[in-house]
Amino acid sequence: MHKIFSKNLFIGKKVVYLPKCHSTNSVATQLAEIEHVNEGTVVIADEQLAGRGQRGNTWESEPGKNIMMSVVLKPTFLKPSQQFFLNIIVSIAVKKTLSEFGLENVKVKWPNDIYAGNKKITGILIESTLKGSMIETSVVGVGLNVNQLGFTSEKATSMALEMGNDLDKELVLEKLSRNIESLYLQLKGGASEKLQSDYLKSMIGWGERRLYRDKEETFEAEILGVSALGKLRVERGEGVKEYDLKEIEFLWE
Amino acid sequence: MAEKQSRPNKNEPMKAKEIQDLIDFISKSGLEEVNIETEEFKIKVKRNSDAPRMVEHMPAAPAPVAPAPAPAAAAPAAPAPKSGNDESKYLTIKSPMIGTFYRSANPETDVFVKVGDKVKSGQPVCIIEAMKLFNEIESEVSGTIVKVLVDNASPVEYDQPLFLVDPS
Repeated sequence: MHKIFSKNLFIGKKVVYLPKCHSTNSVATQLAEIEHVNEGTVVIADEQLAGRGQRGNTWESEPGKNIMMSVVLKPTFLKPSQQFFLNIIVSIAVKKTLSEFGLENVKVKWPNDIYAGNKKITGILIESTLKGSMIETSVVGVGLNVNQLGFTSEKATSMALEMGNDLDKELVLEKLSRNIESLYLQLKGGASEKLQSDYLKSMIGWGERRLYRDKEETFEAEILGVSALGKLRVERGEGVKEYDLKEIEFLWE
Repeated sequence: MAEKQSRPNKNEPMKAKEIQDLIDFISKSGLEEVNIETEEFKIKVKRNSDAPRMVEHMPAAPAPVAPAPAPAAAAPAAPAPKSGNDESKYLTIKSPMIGTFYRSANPETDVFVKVGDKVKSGQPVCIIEAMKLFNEIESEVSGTIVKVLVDNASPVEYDQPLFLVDPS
């Protein structure tokens, strides 16, 4: 059934498939505590009863239509302060996968939402366990909208909606897992500069002026990059400014 | 070079233990159906739907919803200055990174630890979030929590002390 992972080196060598669960990230985090659960273990669900987005936000998905996957990684080669690279590689992996299916208008909305045009197509949730200053495990959760056609939010979309036809979900999963694996191995192999530059180039607002809002005002700016800790660096006319997550909002027409 | 090759070699005698661990996990998880597939084996476990075990974090009866978590939060004021002035014997749990400190896994759940709780090395004590990356921090020490040094949802610096722990 899950021969889809057979070409991978380590991701998907153990697959836990759940018709229903609360959240694949929660299950993967619990599984990761078991001694024999290696890096690369994958948890997949058809239906999440309490799928989570960022802290407290829920992630809605029609049963069986989309990919809800969590991968157990053990990036012991990263310092806690370098974790943003996990976000970088997964974002690039999703963008690359979508592009392999012909979806080209895909960009990363900092820090970790993937947009097709001005609608969200994928959410990423990375949760790690740290002991002292060591990362023990990181669980990378990806919710990728594949064949769902109706959304309660106007700001959401799916591959099928964007492309006008249904897709083979297993094939999407195969390519996505392979891309995550290959980018993770590149990161492990020391390609962090190139990865960071690829991430920058795929960002909404990089190298172009668009509208943002901070707590004082609406303003036009250009994204210059992302600091080592993942903060957004923008050029605002009066100089360069760094923003934390809750300090800046992307505005849409 | 030789360190990180835990994967391919030592599969053989572990299978029975591995399967046992996974089944234990499933039985504790409250999941209704689990299918596990590796290169060596496949297991499919389905729970009897009449087994009343889906409890997990759901407090079944809606009666005590609000009152329950409140006393825990109110309590820690009094017992803190127990043996007075000597804090030097205490150990600290520090933040491994810059971020935002959260005492619970998510807004709906109880705090990981409160004053008076015993913690063991390896036990999760808080979440530090930075740029939407969520980190569950495990204690490196064992003992009793004597003080929580940071308020929930406030920013913390690298190496900032978060908890005081009495190791005795």
